[in-house]
Amino acid sequence: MASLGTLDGKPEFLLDDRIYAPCGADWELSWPLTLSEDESVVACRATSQKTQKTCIVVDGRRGEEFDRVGPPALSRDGKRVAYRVQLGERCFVVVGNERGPDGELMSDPAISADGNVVAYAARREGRWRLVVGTKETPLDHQPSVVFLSADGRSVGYWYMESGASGISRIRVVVDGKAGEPFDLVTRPVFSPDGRRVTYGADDGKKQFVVIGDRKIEVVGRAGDPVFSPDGRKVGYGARIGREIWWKILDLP
Amino acid sequence: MSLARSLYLLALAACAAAHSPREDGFRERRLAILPESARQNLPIAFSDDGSRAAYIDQEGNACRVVAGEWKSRAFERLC
Repeated sequence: MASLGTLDGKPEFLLDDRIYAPCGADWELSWPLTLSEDESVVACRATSQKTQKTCIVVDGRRGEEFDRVGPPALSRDGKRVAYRVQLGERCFVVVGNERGPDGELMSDPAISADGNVVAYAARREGRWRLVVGTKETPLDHQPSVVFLSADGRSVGYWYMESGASGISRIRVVVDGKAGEPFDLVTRPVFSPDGRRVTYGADDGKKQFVVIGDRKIEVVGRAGDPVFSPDGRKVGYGARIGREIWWKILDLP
Repeated sequence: MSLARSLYLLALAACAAAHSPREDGFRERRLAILPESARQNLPIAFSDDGSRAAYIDQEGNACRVVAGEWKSRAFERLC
């Protein structure tokens, strides 16, 4: 269980009941903590209180310092980390110890389970592109969040689009195919085989769980939907009155 | 003031983890009934396999994170 608190006005991280402060008092950590699958590796951002430089900390070891870094993405075993860097007017993605090509703006990266594929959105020369490994695909809109299947073969993102009334709506795109727009969506995740995506979506007061092309209306959704390990079910947390439930949707 | 009592939680959420859910826990079930003292307007966190949910409980000045049978030590304040 990880949580964020403050001690005399200073943010502190807790792992269960333990205070997590791997860098000492001169470094302030930022939410969220990122954990490897077995929870043995912890990564997060840290900012120097003396220089205001930031870095990524993995297992208590600080990485290179930059003006600003985004939250880290870890491979399942925690051995490979990827994150977005702002350095002056430039930004780029760091994977392990290697810097990617510069861009004007970038999203936070997503990383495959084995750490071999990294995906992110980048704006270069005024044009947004979806970067997956070494492949770049030009886009007509600005992705906000990029997500990747465990095997790194499928990629998705969401973007905001302005509706006729001027109100922005969010549309999820998976392997180039756009879904319907919603007021809000939760972070999409791929099924274990990478063939389907699920996410929570709100449209007005209605709540949905989207699974591939299906949109299922639900009540009380309070957590992000996830696939079961065999990919045949989707589960999500719900609050119904005072009861907290784990609800299941069976897939055809 | 002791260390524990001077802490207050700002957020409760599942970590951004490279987790894959476990099959054995993946079934529909009621995880908890929120006590009257549970904070109503704070998020509930769920484990990826649906076996646990965490919420914040408050009794008087003592606030705890509750997740299944596990309860954190008491904190002085929550927000």
